[in-house]
Amino acid sequence: MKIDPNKSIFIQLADYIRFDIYSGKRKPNSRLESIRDMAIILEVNPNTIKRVYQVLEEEGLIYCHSTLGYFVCPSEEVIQKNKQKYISDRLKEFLTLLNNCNITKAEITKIIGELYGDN
Amino acid sequence: MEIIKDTITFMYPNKLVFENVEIKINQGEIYLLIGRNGCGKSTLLRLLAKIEPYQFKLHLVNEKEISYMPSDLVYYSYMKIIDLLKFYDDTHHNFSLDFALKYLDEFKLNPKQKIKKLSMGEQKILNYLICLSKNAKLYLIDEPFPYVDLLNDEIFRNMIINRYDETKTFIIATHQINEFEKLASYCLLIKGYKTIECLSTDEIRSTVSLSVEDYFKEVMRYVKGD
Repeated sequence: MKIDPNKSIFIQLADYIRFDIYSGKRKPNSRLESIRDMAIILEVNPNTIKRVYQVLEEEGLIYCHSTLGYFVCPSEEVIQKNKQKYISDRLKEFLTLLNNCNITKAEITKIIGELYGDN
Repeated sequence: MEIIKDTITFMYPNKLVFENVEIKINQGEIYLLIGRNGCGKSTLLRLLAKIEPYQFKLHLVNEKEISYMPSDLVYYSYMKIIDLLKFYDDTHHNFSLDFALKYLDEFKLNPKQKIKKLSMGEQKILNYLICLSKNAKLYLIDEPFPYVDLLNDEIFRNMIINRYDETKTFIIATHQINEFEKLASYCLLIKGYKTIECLSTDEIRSTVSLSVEDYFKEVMRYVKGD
């Protein structure tokens, strides 16, 4: 993972792990690296990793086993729900941006079509 | 929890360094101490390490649990590295010889090498190694980076994370901000003899979208020196 020094490391790390889970790179019930190992791999402050794990745990995306550490949520259903919420939240932000630019739905559909490589 | 909360005034015979400066250090954080040349970074570390005659009130940290790395430490040049490490092992109860030897190997230094044969960078590494090999509660590290190559920088950071736990506090004074900013949770910015600002590094990044290094350049450009 490449960390952008100009952006919040906390947000970047949370998204990094989130995307790994959403995309299926990290499977349900698979074990996450310990806080220290993750800190060493990414060369960031262990406190930041701890905060990221705590937030993801609150969201239900990962859970903490008292002795074995952190694991990805076992339920595919919960992961999918979480993913949809994340995507719709991001899209809402994006819609606000589009509204501010005064772009119509037809125009944006066209742009998205072009980006996807449709004719 | 705070290990230090104090207001300091300190001067050398003909130079005022700090005047009623408030300083607060929390336990379990990694601080980056930054500021212009001659602003008092090293002095602050010396004060905290109790080398200067000034009585800081320390909480939760015993005086013997401070590990201080000065910027210019000189060892007896006729000694071999291994003899020096064994000397520390004999004289410091919290010194871990295993830790030192493990990292000595990672730095690819030969324990039988004589200290006078070491290059500038290798001497820096040795200072740093000895500082981190002590199991302390407060680490004060004065400019670890000059003369040290990029791959060894990586080991430097790795050592700090390995040593880190929630009871340990690190204060690192350096000009190579970008080397350490990912690791640091706070930066202490010495703005002049009257102010030391304490800022969360992630807050700097998220509020002004600047790395700590760029933020430092922006801010200090407009601060008048005294």
